[in-house]
Amino acid sequence: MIELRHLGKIYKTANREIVALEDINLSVQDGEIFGIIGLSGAGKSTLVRCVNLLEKPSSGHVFIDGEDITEFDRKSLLSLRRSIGMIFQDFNLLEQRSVLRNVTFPLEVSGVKRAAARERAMELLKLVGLSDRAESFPSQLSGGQKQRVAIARALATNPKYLLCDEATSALDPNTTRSILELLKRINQTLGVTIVVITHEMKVIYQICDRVAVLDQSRIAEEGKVSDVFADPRSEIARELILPERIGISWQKTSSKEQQEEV
Amino acid sequence: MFSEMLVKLWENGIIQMGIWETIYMTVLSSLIAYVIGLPLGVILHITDAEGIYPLRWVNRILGLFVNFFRSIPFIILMVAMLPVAKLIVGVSLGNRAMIVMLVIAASPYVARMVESSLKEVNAGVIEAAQSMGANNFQLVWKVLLPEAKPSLIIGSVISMVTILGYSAMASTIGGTGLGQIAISYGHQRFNPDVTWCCVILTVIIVQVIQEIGTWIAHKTDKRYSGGSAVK
Ligand SMILES: Nc1ncnc2c1ncn2[C@@H]1O[C@H](COP(=O)(O)OP(=O)(O)OP(=O)(O)O)[C@@H](O)[C@H]1O
Ligand SMILES: [Mg+2]
Repeated sequence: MIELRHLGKIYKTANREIVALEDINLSVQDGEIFGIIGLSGAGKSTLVRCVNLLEKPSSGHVFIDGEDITEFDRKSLLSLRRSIGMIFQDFNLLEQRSVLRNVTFPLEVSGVKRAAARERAMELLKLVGLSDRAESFPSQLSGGQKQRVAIARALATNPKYLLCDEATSALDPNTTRSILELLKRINQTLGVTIVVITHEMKVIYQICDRVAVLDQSRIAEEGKVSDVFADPRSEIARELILPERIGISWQKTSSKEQQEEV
Repeated sequence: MFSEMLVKLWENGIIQMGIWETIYMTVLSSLIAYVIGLPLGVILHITDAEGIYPLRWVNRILGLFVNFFRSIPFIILMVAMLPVAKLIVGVSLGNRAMIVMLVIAASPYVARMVESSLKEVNAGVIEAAQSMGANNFQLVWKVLLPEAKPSLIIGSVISMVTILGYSAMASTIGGTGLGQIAISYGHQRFNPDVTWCCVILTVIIVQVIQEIGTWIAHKTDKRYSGGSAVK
């Protein structure tokens, strides 16, 4: 379980202080897909980066499986990070490494033997449907394929959690759908708990169990996706949801149609 | 067509020797300058405020030190450093002393070249590696340097050409090589064709370094679909 308690983050720049997060309280249950949605600048990336302490919170605590990681020393923190995978909007693959060696990278970092690492990497590439591209380089892949490699890489160390920061924002709608399906499958078959950051309601609607709406550094609303969707209470949730509703009801039918076609 | 002097220099193998010495001084000085400058460049980069291991004072002091040496024209630095050369290799004349001077002048230059190559590495990639629990040593060794490799190679070509220029200057005050031949046989004994011969040979050497370096950099760069990146 991931628990954020009274989490706050203030960035100090040369001439002023920027409040990026204020008194955030959240719990992400094991096995669920938890969505965090908000407009640009709301603090979503900052929030997710506090979960593995890529960003150090200014106040409050982060509990992972009951342990307060804000008190971890450097060594425990590094080993904790190996149990939390993360993927990004622009993939962040190592450009000078082949697909296979991108996936073995986290294993190398944690000291797994080369042969075992390769074997594990091939398994994961199979899972994401890219077995035949193991020797390619990132520059030779499409955006969707790159994100698949990034997912395989994030899963290499068998993490319990997967953090996704706008993982589909650079992809077209079809590719987005296939990546979301892959995430859902990973959640269901491997039991990985997933935190999804997005500014698109569609993403939340398609795969999340629960959602928190972030507005101007604070949580405006939180609940089951179906509840928030049916009855948005906060101004910001209504703003995010209402324009999407028409789109989603359309999409629901269109994905049904597609299933029938298949 | 050629002056007697040029013919004699060629027949006695002095020009050939000059080519060899120029290449030898350049390559050896570059190597040593990289042994010193590469770690300095890495330290400059990682201790920066935006780096993976910010250390304000280390960065400041090292930066000042590097800038200090970089701002002195080579010809002046060389004269000033003669006693240092004597201290290190026992003599203040000859190629060994010149190599010391070249290394002193080139290491700070190399450090800045390396730093600027490392700056080109995408910060997101570093962050991804950090999210996987990589420690700082692994970040440098497995991410920063390999990702910057093509740019580091291009940088080393530029450094080598600069060092070649320095070595030509150094050879005029007590070393050997094409610079010394141009000065003492060409300029001082009024044989312009000897000077021109040295100029052309230097240009050829620079071209060869440039071509080989660029070729290696391109060959190792996996970001382009050309070269070895193709499966
Ligand atoms: N390193 C930083 N230094 C100073 N301010 C920062 C820094 N990173 C983020 N901020 C500020 O914190 C606020 C929240 O930023 P954050 O990146 O978390 O937003 P976001 O919700 O992820 O936005 P987007 O959807 O555009 O990615 C913004 O006002 C941003 O300018
Ligand atoms: Mg963001």
